[in-house]
Amino acid sequence: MNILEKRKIQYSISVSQAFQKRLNQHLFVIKKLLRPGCTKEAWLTEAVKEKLKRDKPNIVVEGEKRVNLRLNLITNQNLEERITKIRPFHYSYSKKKLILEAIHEKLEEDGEPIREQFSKYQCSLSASKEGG
Amino acid sequence: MENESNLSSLDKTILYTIRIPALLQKKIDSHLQILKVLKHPEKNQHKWLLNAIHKKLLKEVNSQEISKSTNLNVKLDDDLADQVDKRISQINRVYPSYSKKQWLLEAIEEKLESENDMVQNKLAQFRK
Repeated sequence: MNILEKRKIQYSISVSQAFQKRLNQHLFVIKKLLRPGCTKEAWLTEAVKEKLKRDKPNIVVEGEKRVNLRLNLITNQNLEERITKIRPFHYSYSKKKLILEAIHEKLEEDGEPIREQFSKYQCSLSASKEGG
Repeated sequence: MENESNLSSLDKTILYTIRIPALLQKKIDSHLQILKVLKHPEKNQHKWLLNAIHKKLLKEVNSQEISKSTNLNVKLDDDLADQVDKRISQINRVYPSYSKKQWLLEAIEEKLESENDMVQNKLAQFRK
């Protein structure tokens, strides 16, 4: 085998604990129940290959979206204090990072109960249609 | 008078504009759509975002925990890394600040999302 074929380039991406936890849980199920023998490295490589296939060169990706947030002074102060406490441990930690983590965590925590509530609502709607 | 000035300073707000990935915005939109149907009090995006921040601050201040960021290593062979580089340079013509990290994270997020139903169904079968 050619030496070049073996060469791999490693990218180290810093992700939040919540994201890492979600990924590990997902991979645990994949490895144990769906595809025994699948490794994290293989799964990540698949993710890249699948995205490359989906991304046609002539299709421009959607970039980032701007979100405006109006924070009152107390919340802003609390945020600043929190960042100051975290900075000695993670010097690159920013307000934006904290806000993004907060969004991900809330989506994760609220997602399941809201979806359940929604499916109940849909069931009750279809039941009332049938009844009416 | 002093109280009044304190009150007026409390009423003041600071405007932040943050840029979030399009995929995350889509997730928020679909979540908010469900909340609207359910007539949930948090159906407004701004209110929802503020509550997310308050919730996180409250959780972290109470636990005194420092949220760690961890590293995720993605190893790609030369050829694949080259294809990714080409894709990023295509995107950079339109979005100069778009990074490889962002693209890789999107790839992982999209795969997580596409396999989510399959994993949840399997888990549900397993629990029965």
